[in-house]
Amino acid sequence: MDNRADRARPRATIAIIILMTATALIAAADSETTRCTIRKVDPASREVTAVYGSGYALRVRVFRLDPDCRIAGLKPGQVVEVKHRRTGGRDVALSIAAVLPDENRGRP
Amino acid sequence: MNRAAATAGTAGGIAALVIVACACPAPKKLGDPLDGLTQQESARFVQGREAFQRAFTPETGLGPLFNADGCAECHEDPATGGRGDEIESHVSVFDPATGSCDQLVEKGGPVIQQHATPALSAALGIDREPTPAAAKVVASRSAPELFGLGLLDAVPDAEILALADPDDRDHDGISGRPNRFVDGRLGRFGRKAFVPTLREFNAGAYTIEQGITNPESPTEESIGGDPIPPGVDPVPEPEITQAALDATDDFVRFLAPPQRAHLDAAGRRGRKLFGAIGCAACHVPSLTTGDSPVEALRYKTVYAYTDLLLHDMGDGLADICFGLATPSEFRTAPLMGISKATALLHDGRAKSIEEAIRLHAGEASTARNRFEALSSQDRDALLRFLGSL
Repeated sequence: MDNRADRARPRATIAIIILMTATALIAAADSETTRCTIRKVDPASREVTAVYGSGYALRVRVFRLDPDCRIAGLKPGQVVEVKHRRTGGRDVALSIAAVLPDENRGRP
Repeated sequence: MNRAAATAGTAGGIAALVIVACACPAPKKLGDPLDGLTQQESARFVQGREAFQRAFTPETGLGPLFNADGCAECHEDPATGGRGDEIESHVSVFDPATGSCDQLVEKGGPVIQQHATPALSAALGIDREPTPAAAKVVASRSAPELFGLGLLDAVPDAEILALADPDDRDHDGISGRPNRFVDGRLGRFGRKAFVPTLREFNAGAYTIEQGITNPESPTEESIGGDPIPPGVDPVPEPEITQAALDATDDFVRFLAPPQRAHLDAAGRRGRKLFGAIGCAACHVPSLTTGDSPVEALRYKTVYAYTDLLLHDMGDGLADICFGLATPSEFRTAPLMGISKATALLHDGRAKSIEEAIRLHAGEASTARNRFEALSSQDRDALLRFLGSL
């Protein structure tokens, strides 16, 4: 009996590690980050509208704000980094941070 | 030397000449690939040219709004990847009070599509995208040639930013400044230097010019801000694969720059004058590429005659804003290939190099005045130099 329990213990540990890793990976994949320009900030409806895109194909995305997401100081025209995830068919902003000009430097 | 020996000697000489001639690389034609591509990269270039030349139909994803049915419809002259005679309409709204630019993204974006598929026409009764009411200025844009753009793409940001002098601290009257994309990165492509990379330009162009969605630009244009009516565009997104987009990008990236012609004495004098009267302050003769996974693009000098920065060109040329660029600011146009151009400036209004120079104003006024003050001989020499590019 004891031998069987000893053999089962490492397997359980491995299973827990796999489960924890998978949970972490799913959580990380759950949210994404987009750099964009703020078009509109609407504190009343708790929404921020931003422009993103590829080349001249520019698109608008409306982010609903997570209760913990702060928007004080954000204004139209500002370049921001939005961490967001898809919830209930909508983009929910978890955090929005202004991108400083120094951080805009692209290729080396 | 007897006659037979002389004949043999002549034949040998001719043979040697033929061998030497064969050893020299063939002169590059417009539309050829860069020198130094690997066999695999050359194969990608050929494959990419096919993707670039593909013509779409509504059944294969075209539209429902579009300007052309394929890349090569507008980039065709004098070879695939060249310029086109099509003129596009671009719009935006500039607020002089705040300096902000509304690119009318909620109203269908800055590029107006001039054609609609039969299905969209039947559904909405339109044959092109409606121009937003807010757009008081409609800018014309010609289709530029794409030769050598892979080299410009490989120039490090730092090299471009080092040329900027937004506050004209050196008091030379030239104050180039960078444009920025919506995510803050340095822009370099497009007449207003708005787009950071060639790849994004290509991916976006598929969508806005042809209505062909792709993995890197997966959403169709709206109809002036309104959704596409159901059933009008039945091909599921993305309408081309990543492989097709990659191939197109390879073709554009690997296009060789136009070859400069040999300069005679007058042309060499013209080149000196180009610098002396101030043209080279914005049309910087050469840039150097940085590191690149493609050896043919790595640490190369590109004689593009541009700084890829924005400059005020005066009220006469002003049209729309784009990103940080005000209506009168334009990116310094690369001059490589200018000798083959028949319609110059951003909208093709100038029919000769001399006319284009005379239309320069704003920051370029001093250089233009100096050009106009040159003797006819010196002016001809300068034009001879430009005609070699």
